[in-house]
Amino acid sequence: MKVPTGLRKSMPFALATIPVGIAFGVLAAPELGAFFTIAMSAIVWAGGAQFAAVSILSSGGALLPAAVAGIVANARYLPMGFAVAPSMSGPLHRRMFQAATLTDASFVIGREPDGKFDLDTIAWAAPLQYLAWVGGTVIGAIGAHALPDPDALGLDVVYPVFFLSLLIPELRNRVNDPASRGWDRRRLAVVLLAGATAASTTPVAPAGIPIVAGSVVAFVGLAWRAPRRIEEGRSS
Amino acid sequence: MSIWSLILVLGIAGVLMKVIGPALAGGKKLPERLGDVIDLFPLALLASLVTTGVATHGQAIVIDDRLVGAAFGLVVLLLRAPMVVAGAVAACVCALLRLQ
Repeated sequence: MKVPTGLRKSMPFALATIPVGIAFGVLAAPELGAFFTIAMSAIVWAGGAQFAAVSILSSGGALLPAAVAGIVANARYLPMGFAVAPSMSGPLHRRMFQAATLTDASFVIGREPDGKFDLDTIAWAAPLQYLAWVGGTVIGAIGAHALPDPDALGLDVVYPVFFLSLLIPELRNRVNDPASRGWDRRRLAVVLLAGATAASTTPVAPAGIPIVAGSVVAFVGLAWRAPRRIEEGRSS
Repeated sequence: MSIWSLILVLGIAGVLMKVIGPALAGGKKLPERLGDVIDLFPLALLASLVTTGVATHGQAIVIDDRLVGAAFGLVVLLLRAPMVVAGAVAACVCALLRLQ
């Protein structure tokens, strides 16, 4: 039986998610108790939102600001949903189900060479990531005292390196002009500008906003158009 | 507000944000200009995720062993090794630096 692409490609990301889930379990259990900690991961399934909300509670904040922080931390899913929408087909309930399976990793894994998204890949990338997130949380919430510190093992750098491994082919990707060679200055500029924007907004904005701010750099595409291959036989 | 309310609010809000786009604009073809923006979106998102993951901690910019680990990971990636190998190398370098 052939393994679905999304399932296969999500495996390394799911593995890297386990220590992050453990970290959440360890952080949240003293604040919420093991039951609510695990319930939160099972129902919210969004590390950014969960860490943002719990860290506010841990530092003495109230539930309402924690909720606001959690919602803001998920803000990038709004443009991600709109980015994926044109690639969808079928009835509303199926589109909504597919959209609900979106994560950062599946968003990029599901990208096709022509710039569209493969919704089957995205959906199939969800189960392992979900299991890893909830499973990691359970381990962290219940067994924290018995585990080594994930940071001591350098595990916090694994996720960014995985994203880096996706960034490199994305940087080289040329949807409109596949035959050209050399660096695409436009894409390089987007990478540098997005990184700089995310970094510079970090000290001044709540969790989640820097990533949205960096992503919004993609709008330079409105003014700086992609180079296009000149088609044969076109009269000018 | 109770903890349950917090959990449900976050869960519902997260799903809502993911599905609003597909619910409103699902299957519709976009103007070409917007297509160019969407084409750049994963690139900008990834650059932001890598930057914040490697160089920030909470609301502060923190340059530490992660940057060195990630640099080794980058070299491994450019040598066309699989991402799991790159991740493992980066974690090892980071862990070794933190032993001091």
